[in-house]
Amino acid sequence: MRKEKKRSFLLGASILIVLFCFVLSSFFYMPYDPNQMDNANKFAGVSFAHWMGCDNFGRDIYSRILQGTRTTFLVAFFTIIIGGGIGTAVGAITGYFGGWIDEILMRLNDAVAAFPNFLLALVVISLIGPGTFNVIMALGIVFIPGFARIARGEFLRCRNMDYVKSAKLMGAGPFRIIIFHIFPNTIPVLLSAVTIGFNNAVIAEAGMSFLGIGVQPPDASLGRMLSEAQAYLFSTPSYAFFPGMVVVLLVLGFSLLGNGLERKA
Amino acid sequence: MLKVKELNIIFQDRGKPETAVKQLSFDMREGERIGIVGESGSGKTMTALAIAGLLMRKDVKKQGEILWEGKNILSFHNKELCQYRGKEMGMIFQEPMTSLNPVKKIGWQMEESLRIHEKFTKKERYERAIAQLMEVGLLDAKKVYHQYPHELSGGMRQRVMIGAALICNPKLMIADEPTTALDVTVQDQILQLLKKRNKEKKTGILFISHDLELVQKLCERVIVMHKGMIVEKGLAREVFTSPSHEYTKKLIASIPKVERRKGDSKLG
Ligand SMILES: Nc1ncnc2c1ncn2[C@@H]1O[C@H](COP(=O)(O)OP(=O)(O)OP(=O)(O)O)[C@@H](O)[C@H]1O
Ligand SMILES: [Mg+2]
Repeated sequence: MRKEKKRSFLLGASILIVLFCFVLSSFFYMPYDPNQMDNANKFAGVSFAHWMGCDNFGRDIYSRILQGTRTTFLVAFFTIIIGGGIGTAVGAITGYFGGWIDEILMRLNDAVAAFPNFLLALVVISLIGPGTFNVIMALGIVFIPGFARIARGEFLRCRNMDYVKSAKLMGAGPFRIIIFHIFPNTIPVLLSAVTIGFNNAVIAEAGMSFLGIGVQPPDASLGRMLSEAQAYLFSTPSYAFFPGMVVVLLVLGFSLLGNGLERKA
Repeated sequence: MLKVKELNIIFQDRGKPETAVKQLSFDMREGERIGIVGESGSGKTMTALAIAGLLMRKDVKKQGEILWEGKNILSFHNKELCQYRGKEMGMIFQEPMTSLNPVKKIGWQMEESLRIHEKFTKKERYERAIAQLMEVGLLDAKKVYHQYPHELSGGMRQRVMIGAALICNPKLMIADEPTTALDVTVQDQILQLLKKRNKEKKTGILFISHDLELVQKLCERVIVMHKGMIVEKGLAREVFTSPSHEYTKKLIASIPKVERRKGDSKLG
């Protein structure tokens, strides 16, 4: 059982590291300008020059995937920073203090969490408009309740631990206890929540860009590419296949990683 | 130094109120060693927690006064409490296995009180922590400093707890059954440690135990508690040789014979 977890963790980590290296490499070497159109190469198939082929505007798909994965990573990363950061802070305060603060914040939390994630993100987007930055804001807000709930559970569990009593006896104030004494103990659980969150963010970003309300053209994102590719699904399958593969690998990678982390906690 | 006046502790969380401590009064002077004994559930821990200012929950009603240098702990604000804890008073309790933070190094936990109460540099803190670890008998201090709690034995952890509680030189040390989870030889060492500290730095010790033998080894004065009330108090020697209350007699009678003789010879 333990071995299985470890294998899952390692596999997930390696998939993500490989993808990450590809993305990193793109900062040093990008075969083509991802937005460079080239009429001669419209729907070019897989070749040495364009080893994932070209799209309907003759843009190099490999370069666009690199660019798109970058965008997707970026969106997922900042979504987690916002959602995970605020969510954890809210959960920590409600879990540790309890009482009326808990009552009010958690009611609010429940109200937000009552809507399906994706729907809520759509509502937010419809209020603030599309675009990469707005997608990050929307998803960040949507992710707060999930993190808050998990963090609250952890802080609730830890606040009556003996080592917290020890910290109080040393004269530590509540915020010191939350940040320095309890928080480090919640990291394993929060980390597995982060991997799941990353996953959801990747899917949500792809979904919103697919619907045309996320990353705006001509910028590439994995979701946008899939959306643009669907018209040519049969004529140029490579157009949809490669970005689709990357989404699958990303999601798989985070799932495996999360799985491996989960029971270790 | 410490004056407890007619302290009542009443739990109100489950429907009908339950009195855990009734009309408890005692005084403690600087550098004294006082023992509180009594069976399980007699209210010893609640008394200790109240004195440590840890019983601040709203659903626990406290009546009476706990005066620390003339000021009532029960009416302290959060700030005052934090000032008092760790700096004026240190406390350790029964479970050395769980009282240390599992994910923090020993050194960090030793230094916590210093970070809170003193304005030391990193180096000064380190030196203090090492010296303190040595003082509590962890001679391999530099190694222990970098270890995690799970790498230490129960006795070592309790030593760390004592060291951490004493690092700011508090005037009072509350020890709530600090040795119950430890084996007999380690128990003795811990007692020696507390006694040494008391002798050298005049740290007052409030030692709580259900074990009369330990109390008479360590303490000058003793308070016997039963069902939340003090049934007897006085000099340890007198209480043990000529107990006046039935309950104390029963407690003494329940000590195994061999041990009792050992204790007696020490007194005589
Ligand atoms: N949450 C609670 N609600 C109601 N009563 C409580 C609560 N906690 C403790 N008590 C009461 O407080 C009394 C004293 O408990 P305390 O822990 O002080 O005993 P003790 O002398 O330390 O015993 P031990 O030797 O087992 O540690 C108990 O008899 C119990 O009835
Ligand atoms: Mg107790």
